[in-house]
Amino acid sequence: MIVAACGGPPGTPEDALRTWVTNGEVAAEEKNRSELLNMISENYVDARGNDRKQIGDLLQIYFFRQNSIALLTRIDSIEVSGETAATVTLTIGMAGIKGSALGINADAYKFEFELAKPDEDWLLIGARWAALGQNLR
Amino acid sequence: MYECLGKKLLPVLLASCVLTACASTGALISAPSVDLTSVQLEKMSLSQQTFLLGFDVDNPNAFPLPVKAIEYRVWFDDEKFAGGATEGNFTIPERGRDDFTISVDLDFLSTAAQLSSLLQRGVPDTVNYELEGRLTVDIPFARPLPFFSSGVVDVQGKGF
Repeated sequence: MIVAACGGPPGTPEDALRTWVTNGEVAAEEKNRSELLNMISENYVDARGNDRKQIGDLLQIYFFRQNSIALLTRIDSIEVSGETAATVTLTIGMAGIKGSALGINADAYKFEFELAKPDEDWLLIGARWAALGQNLR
Repeated sequence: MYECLGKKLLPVLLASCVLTACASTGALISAPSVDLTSVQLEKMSLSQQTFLLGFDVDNPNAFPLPVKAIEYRVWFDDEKFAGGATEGNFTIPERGRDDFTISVDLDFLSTAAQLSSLLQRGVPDTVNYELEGRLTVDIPFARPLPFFSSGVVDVQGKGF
């Protein structure tokens, strides 16, 4: 019963997407870059001109240092269309040990993730982000 | 007794070392160094002067820095010369250099003091400068990166 409760397949697409977000948060806090990259489509592209490799490089910035990273994540909305495409909007704050010494801005950021489900797993295919109160780009 | 105390203290000491190691690592992004490399008097009229300030920026990080905005203040011979903010749209390569130019328009009436210090005896060949400012990078959660430099810079007057 416990196995079924913990390991069973997620029910709705919304459930799966919430799990996707949680997995991403855990992977980021564990600095598991390869796990995060596995969540990103080979076809990823965004308005800043980033591709999958460049997002991987961006992630690397947070993982270069040995400092701990803790994310405070809130799912603002999940919109699913046709069960194979979704938009997830998140507000993410970052807290770290001695955040100011790390040069981390305490302000939260808004992220809008575009996801697709070509097979069994949801993959990130695009993203926009900005500090709270600024326009997403 | 000491052996027992040692066994109890060892995990605490180890934990302290780990915590110290965590806390002593540096900032997420190392601040780039920015130098003023040229001052060019581009246009000069009775009412307005346009200077082009050339900057070199050096990225010490092992990743590129996408620059979104630049705030700067420049002093020549200890006199405030210009300051402002401008949008940036360039990326400094990892462990590499790039340069950028900022156009500064000065109104002669309101900036006579600054100009007189620079142009007192015509356009000088060089001038002492101090530069400070901040680079805003397009990296989530990154704070603006401060910079400061001083030195001597060439002044080009285009025949003025």
